[in-house]
Amino acid sequence: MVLLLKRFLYRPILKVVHEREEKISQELEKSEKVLNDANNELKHYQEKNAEFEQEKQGMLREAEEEARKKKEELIKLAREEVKILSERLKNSLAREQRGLQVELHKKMVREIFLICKKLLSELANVELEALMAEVFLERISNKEHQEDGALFEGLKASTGPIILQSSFELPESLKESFKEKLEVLIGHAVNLKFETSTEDLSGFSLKTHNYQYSWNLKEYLERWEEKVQDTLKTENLGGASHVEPKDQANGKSI
Amino acid sequence: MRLSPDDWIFWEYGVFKLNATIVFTWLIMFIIVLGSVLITRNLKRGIKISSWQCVLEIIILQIQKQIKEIGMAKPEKYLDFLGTLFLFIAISNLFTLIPGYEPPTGSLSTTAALALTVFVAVPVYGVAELGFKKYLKSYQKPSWLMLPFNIISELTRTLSLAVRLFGNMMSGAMIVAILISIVPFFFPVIMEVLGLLTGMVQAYIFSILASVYIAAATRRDDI
Repeated sequence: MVLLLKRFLYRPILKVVHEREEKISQELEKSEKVLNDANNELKHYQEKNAEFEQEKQGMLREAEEEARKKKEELIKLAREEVKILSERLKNSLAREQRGLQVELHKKMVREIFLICKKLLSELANVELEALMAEVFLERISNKEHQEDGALFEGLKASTGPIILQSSFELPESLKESFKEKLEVLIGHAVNLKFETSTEDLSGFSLKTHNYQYSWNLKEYLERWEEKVQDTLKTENLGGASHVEPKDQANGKSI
Repeated sequence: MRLSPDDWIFWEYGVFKLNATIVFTWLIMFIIVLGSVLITRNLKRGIKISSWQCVLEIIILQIQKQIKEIGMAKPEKYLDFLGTLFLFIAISNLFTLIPGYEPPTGSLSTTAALALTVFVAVPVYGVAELGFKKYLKSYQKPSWLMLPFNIISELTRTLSLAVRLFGNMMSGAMIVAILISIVPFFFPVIMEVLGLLTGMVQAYIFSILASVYIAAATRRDDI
């Protein structure tokens, strides 16, 4: 019976138990290995994470630095652009101002010319254009006004036609007078042409290909403008005492 | 009323008798072997096992554990013999629940035979473990003067094993029989349960004592 039980009971049972124990032991070892692997993996990934974090911080710092430089660059560029634009605006304003000044200048000359013309006509019954033509003729004839013979030399050296430019249409008699005067001055016949232009601001210009002699209101006006500018400058320097006019009733600026 | 299952004779031819002790002994042995074959036929090696396998594993491992606790370093060597003793006695006593069954352990011839197996097994295991000379020398310990006493002790403990088991089982059966004749209901049930417990305890005691005797015989003093 002992042998039978050993064969059919104890040996199979102990074998199965032993195998199960081994299996469980292997499973435990395997699970321990898996756990160790998992821990190693975890450690590895944690290290990687730390590296990535460092890299991230480094990249952030680089990006910040780059952004700062870019910002400074852009600000610099913007300032330069603003400066250029401001310069352009200033130039544009200056051009506009100059244009306005020229326009104003012309208007003033025209107005002055008209006022003078009207005054002379009403007070002395004399035509301003005729008087101006006489004055210019006198200036051409009179050596005192010829800038040390420059007019004579300029007209004599001319190979082409001489152009007499006026701000108004000259009558034929005056045209003849001018021609005669110039021929006397130069000493031979001249090819004189007459042109009308408002650019000369109520006056005359005698032009050759390389010389010009003018007499008009422009010179007087420029001198007057210079005086006005001087006066304005003087007033601006002492402008600290300038007081704006005020509405006395309620004390507001007007 | 029978004192022993030896008195219950099924067949007789001259001096040859086929009594209940022999029949039930073989029947129990057959049941144990057949049960073992049937249960271990489909043993599962995985984690999920059948209830029968689980019970059997618990019993076998507990026996092994007990043997180890007694002091034997390699319990698997002694499991076959000691486990068989325990299972035989325990199942013999357990079957008393079946009406008409009489445990073979209630016969002195059975208990004597079991005690004799222990008597033989002790020197066999001792010689196998220690060697013939060393085993024989163990009878002279602690001094040669103790040799006759040790020999007497071998004989008396065998006798005590046989008589202890027989006495307990026989008395249990007797008490139940007497009580059934006096108080036929209820009380015999309690005594039957008590008898079952006594039977299990006796199986345990018998196998433990056998383990102790074998452990004493196989003990190495030089270790």
